[in-house]
Amino acid sequence: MNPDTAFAKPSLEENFLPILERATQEVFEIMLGCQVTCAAPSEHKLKGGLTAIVGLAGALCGVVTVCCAARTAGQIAKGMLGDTAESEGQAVDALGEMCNMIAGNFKNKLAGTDERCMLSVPSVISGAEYRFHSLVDGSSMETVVLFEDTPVAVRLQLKS
Amino acid sequence: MSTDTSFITRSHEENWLPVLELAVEEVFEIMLGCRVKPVAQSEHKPNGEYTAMIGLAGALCGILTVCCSAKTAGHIAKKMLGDTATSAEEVGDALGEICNMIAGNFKNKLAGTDERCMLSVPTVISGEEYSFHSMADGNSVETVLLFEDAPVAVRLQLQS
Repeated sequence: MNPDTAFAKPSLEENFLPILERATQEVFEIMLGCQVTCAAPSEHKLKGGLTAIVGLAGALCGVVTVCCAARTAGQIAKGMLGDTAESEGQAVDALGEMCNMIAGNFKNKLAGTDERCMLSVPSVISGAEYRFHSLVDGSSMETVVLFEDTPVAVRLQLKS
Repeated sequence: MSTDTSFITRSHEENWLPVLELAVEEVFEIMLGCRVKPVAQSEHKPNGEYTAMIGLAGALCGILTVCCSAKTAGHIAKKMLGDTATSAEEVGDALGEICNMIAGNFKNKLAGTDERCMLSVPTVISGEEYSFHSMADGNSVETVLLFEDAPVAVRLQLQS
């Protein structure tokens, strides 16, 4: 998880997306011990479930979200905390922590932003029927990884 | 909206709450042209069909949320944008902007934090059936006000 990318250069979606994908893959490998590969977002549509959100403020301003089915969040909790992690609260906490780590790893890869970009605390939305949208007017990019054959969508939305 | 409160001395719930209440009252007066006062939380629980949230990062780390019913969010949008503001997008944008302004006004009142505390972008959640969990584990303060006789809850949750 070393800073290896100049902040000044990647300013467009095509530059940030590979960094987001790598940050996601590393967190899944370190926290859950599994290697995940990125898939095209259009192939895996998610409805409902859990959405974790972490805000970015400072040099980069926006939000990172991680969205998956409730069952997948439960599997992530078991992967992080052990097989006894069966409560909804543990699934919520685990997904929030994954989102926090992906956002932190992403910003650490942008050399020079680490001190000028800060994260807020994670929040998690759960439920059968909800919509959410961020009031950002800049770049938006998404990567989807398969964790135990179910999709997990990671999205970065930045203010212009 | 002047800076009038020392950050150093404001570290307890009883100190944060009046600052938050004042920040809320000022934003409602400036943006919506109405004077609001805090009411008893136990007697006025909003139907949380809409929740706007914004992250704080840096010297203050946490989230600020504004929660109200769909009808009340619609009234806020009409007050801000005019009677033609009826779409879900306009309603969400209006509530998100109110949340953004309350958070900004609140932090500006804490002398010394303005440069060391930054805001992320607002996110708005809407729906009939959802739960919202914040992983902030520190102080939490909430004020409820009546806007056109309907409750609006504003909550600040800080990371310890």
